[in-house]
Amino acid sequence: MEITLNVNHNIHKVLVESDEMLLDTLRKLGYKSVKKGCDTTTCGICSVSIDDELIPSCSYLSYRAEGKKILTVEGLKEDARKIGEALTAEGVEQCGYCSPSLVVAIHTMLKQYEDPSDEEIKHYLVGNLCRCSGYEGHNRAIKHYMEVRHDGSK
Amino acid sequence: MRFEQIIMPTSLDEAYNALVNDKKSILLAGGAFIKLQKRNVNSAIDLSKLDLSYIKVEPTTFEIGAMTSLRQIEVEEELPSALKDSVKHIVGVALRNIATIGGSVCGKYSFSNLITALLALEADLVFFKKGKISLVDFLKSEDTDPDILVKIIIPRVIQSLYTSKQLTYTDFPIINMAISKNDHLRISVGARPMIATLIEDPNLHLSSKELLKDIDFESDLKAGEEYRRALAESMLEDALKEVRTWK
Repeated sequence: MEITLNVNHNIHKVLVESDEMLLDTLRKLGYKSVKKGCDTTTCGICSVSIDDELIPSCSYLSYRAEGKKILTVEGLKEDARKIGEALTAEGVEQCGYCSPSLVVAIHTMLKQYEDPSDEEIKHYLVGNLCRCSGYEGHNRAIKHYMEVRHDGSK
Repeated sequence: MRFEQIIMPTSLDEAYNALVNDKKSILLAGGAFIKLQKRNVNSAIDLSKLDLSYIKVEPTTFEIGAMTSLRQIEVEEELPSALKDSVKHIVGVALRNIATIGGSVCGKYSFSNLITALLALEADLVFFKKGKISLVDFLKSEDTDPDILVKIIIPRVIQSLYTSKQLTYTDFPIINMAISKNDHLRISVGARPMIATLIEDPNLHLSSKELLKDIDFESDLKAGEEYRRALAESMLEDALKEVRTWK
């Protein structure tokens, strides 16, 4: 079937199988930041934002994304750079495989929680697995990014 | 799971007819389990256009549409705490944004957090053709006639709690339990590792060991039968301390 997808404000007409998952379609369209990990919704590596909700693209049928706004890290630009810098400064940007989905998850979380507590951050991001670091650095980086973001908005 | 075509019904009648007319079709709710099943079907009947995603807060009940996501349940302040807490440890926010209450209930998963909570909360299920069935009867039933779950109804309860133990924050539970109180007390125990069950007429004067003596536990890869029972006794003892403070 042919569907139309809005990815990072770019409109794509694309042929997909009925049971094709969004992860495969996005990679086919060149959005290679969206990675395949467990492929069973467990690791969070494939997460994208759809209409400001965090979604595991490995288990989200492509046709269901028609008419919705899909956001990957390629579409975040300045935010992605700032979050990336915060992660790097805390030494948690190691193999980098989980970083694109983590950046999208942080961005999506901050759409839903203006000023999340430590508990809310941990609870929201617990589904995004990282096997390089111990998560404490992530938490420090996110809090630092939140401060920078607040300062920038003053 | 692979399927050749998608059917997008816009009414329950249309969805039901598609289901009964093709025995190699399946109902598609959130889709979280598509990748975990190894089978081929002709068509998937997508329920997402049937307006079954809602939480209605009524004076004496809550009505939850079958396509309501676990995340919607988690963040809806009015719902009983046992129900909200039961979904909080299910993998991550992303999964909970797609997994639905209907898919979770109809799967009758033995590890289910949600079913344990709904059982304690005295939930009724409303099917398109069979009408209202209690969750207790649904879990016992071996009826395989095709039907579509439309909504779940739970009465308002005065107080409730949910507790579970798992090896990691987001893992399947080794054991879980939920307690609710209205004019009577209901205690359910799940992930035994069999499907959740109720403790009949719980007497708060009994010890947790005595309350659990007729509940069966078994071993699996996650925990042994003896360990599960010991864990359940300890968890119930802690839970009952809180229950005794309820007015």
